[in-house]
Amino acid sequence: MQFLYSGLTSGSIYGLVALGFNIIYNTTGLINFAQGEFVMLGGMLIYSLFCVFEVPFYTALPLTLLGCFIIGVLYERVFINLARYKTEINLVTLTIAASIIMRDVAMHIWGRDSLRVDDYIPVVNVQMPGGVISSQSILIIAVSMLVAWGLNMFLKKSKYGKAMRACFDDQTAAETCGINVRSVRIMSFAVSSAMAGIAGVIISPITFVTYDDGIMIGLKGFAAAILGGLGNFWAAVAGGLLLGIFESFSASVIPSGYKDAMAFFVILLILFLKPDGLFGRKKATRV
Amino acid sequence: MKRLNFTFLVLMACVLGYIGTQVTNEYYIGVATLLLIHAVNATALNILLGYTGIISIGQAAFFGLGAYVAAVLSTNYGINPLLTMPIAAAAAFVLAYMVGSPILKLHGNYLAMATLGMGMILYIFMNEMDFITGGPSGFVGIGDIIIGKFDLADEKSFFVFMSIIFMVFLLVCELFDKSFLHNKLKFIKNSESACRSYGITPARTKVMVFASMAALTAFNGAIFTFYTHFISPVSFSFKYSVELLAMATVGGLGYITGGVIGAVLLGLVPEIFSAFEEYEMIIYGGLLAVVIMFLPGGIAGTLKRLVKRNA
Amino acid sequence: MLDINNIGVSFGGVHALSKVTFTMPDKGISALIGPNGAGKTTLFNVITGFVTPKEGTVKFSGEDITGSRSEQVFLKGISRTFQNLNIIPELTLRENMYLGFIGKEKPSALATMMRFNRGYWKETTKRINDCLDFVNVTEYADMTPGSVPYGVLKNFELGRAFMSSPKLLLLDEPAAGLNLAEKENLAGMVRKIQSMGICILMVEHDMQFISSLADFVVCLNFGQVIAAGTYAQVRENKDVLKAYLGDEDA
Repeated sequence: MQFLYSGLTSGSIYGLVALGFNIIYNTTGLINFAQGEFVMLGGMLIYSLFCVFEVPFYTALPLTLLGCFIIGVLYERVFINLARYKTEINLVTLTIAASIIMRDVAMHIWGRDSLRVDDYIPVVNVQMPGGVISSQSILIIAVSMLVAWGLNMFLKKSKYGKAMRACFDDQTAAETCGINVRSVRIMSFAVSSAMAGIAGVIISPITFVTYDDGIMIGLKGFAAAILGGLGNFWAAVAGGLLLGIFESFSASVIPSGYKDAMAFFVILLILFLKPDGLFGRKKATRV
Repeated sequence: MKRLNFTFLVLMACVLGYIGTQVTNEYYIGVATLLLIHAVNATALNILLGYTGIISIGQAAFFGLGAYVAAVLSTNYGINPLLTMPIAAAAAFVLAYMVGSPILKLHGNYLAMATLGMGMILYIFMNEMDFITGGPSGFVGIGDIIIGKFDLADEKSFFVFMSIIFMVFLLVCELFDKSFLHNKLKFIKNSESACRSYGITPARTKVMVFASMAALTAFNGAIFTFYTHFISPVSFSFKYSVELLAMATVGGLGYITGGVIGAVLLGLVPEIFSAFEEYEMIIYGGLLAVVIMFLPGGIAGTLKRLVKRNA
Repeated sequence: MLDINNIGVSFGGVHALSKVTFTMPDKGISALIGPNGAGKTTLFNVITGFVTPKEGTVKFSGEDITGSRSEQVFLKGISRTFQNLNIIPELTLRENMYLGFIGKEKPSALATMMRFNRGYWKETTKRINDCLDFVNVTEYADMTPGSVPYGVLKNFELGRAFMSSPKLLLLDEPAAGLNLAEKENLAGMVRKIQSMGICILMVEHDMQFISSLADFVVCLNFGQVIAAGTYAQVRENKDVLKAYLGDEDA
């Protein structure tokens, strides 16, 4: 059971990152390589505000999210919008370039060491059937589920959310119906960046935050998205949880050094067996 | 049938010949050898990305795989270094084929992530399997390549060996660039549906290209092993994959000259400016972004356009 | 030549094609007409294996090809052109022409890459040149498609599909966007191809173009066959008039 609890904790983070992948993939058809870097930035910003400048947490959190939101907008404006030749391969390469730049800028600002973010809530271990779970883990799981639910509501109820969902289905149709696809695209980058920011904020007290965290967490979020099936909202969350649980169970069998390799084996396995993901549906392709 | 770019081939041969005969400083010769090794890797990536439209950021892993296979086989099992090179290439071919065949059938987007993942995994394995690879502290005691009575132990003789290999490689690449095969790959890059309605199965060709280029990179990695006599995982990290990507892109995607230009340029800069290292990745990332955003042909493409306009 | 039997395709909840049934004659030129969104291109995609139908079968020369992959359909002898041309911008027309050649012959990678196999190179080059000649684009052969007039590209596309020496040629709106002279030129070429014993099925809007060429016409509307027969028969058909002109004229 202990593995289940730790799996759920990391899994909910993967789920959040996978949701970020999903939002951008759905509106632009892109795999955003810098998704993990947004998570890292979230952690870094909260570290600076909360631990260095000692801003109270209730101010630091919104500021961090706002920061991530703005970075997301800038990211879209600079890297995606300015590109003269928007072929798929160019844009993917651009997101790779962007992720390298973000990572190294972070390295120059925050240094190469792991930074410890203070706990937001007192750490207590809660006795659960079959193991213990720390209050931090509960916070992570609760917040991610809340965010996923909130995003779901946002997509279903708000004007922007509806516009985004229209773009998920058919961009050309959405555009002809008067939806401003450009602002939806900006919005999707901003929202997914803010979501990654939340993930970064809630996870950094446990894992600490290092400038090169982004690669691995991005990769695992992508694995989660593939596992669930790209383009499907709740499947991303489920994929993240499954990946987290799988990873923590496998850690009990194989040496911990190889733990990070599991995410990749999951990607390969899924692509071999069920390329549309466990819960994915096929999207019609145009000729 | 298009004519080969003999100017470029002859120019390269002259430059290599000049370095081989006139330069005596061992350090410079060493730099030149490394540049040639980078150029082969960058060109392999260029053929993937610029010709076939396959984005791979796990090239460093194949390079490292080749290096380790050659090192382990020659040092621990006493196999002739020359023989280990094809074995290393074959190993990378098999791995790339296995990884590539499920992924290349899908959306091109996936491949970037998947190759990145594969690169990270191989990197983890190189670090963790210290009973074979020596772990993070590296693999030592690698022998020399011995051809007949020539022992390629010193810088100069290794440079000559590498130059010969490089020129052969370049000639093959030129032949490829002016061939029908090149057209076929460009079709696949640009329109998969057109290919399929003309009887080409894009996935199959892409897997073959991906695996072949992995094999080539691994072969090159084996050469690298016998040049440095010491390898450690650091040389094969994600960072090197990004460097290769930057070299191929800045030099010019879709031009054989591109990989060479990019490798020489980006390979020389850190030698000239030592302060560069601090900001290396930012500069690579920035160059990559700027070239892709505004100059899709890179340096080679821009030069070619200028020449055409003035002609 | 081509038996379309009870084909049904739906995208999401939209029925793109339902119960489409007709038999194309063994020779000559057939045309598929119908208003926009009638499902003509979808039917092409079904025949060439890009879309798998929900129900029904496609038979080509008596052989069931439903659900075959596009590559296999091509190898059975069906070539097609595309509405959006699919000519690679970074290659010259001469190089682009090679696409029509490579899939059928399946040359080895070495043969296509090395120059030792002179025979292959000579033959390929000759056939490409012949074909460029045939569709009158020789003078543009070494240009990239960006600098070539649209009409020439249309001819080129036809030539490339013809070059693979198919039994059946599917043309998706060959005359769209052409001026009168170009259309006549194209019609001549289509007739020439047909006289070589190649069957042609085309999607077309231009009625005049069809009337001068097609021996057999099928009219689709809202994914259903509403008329089939000779051009004259179809033109007199009430449903066809309704589909094209609206209800009040019927």
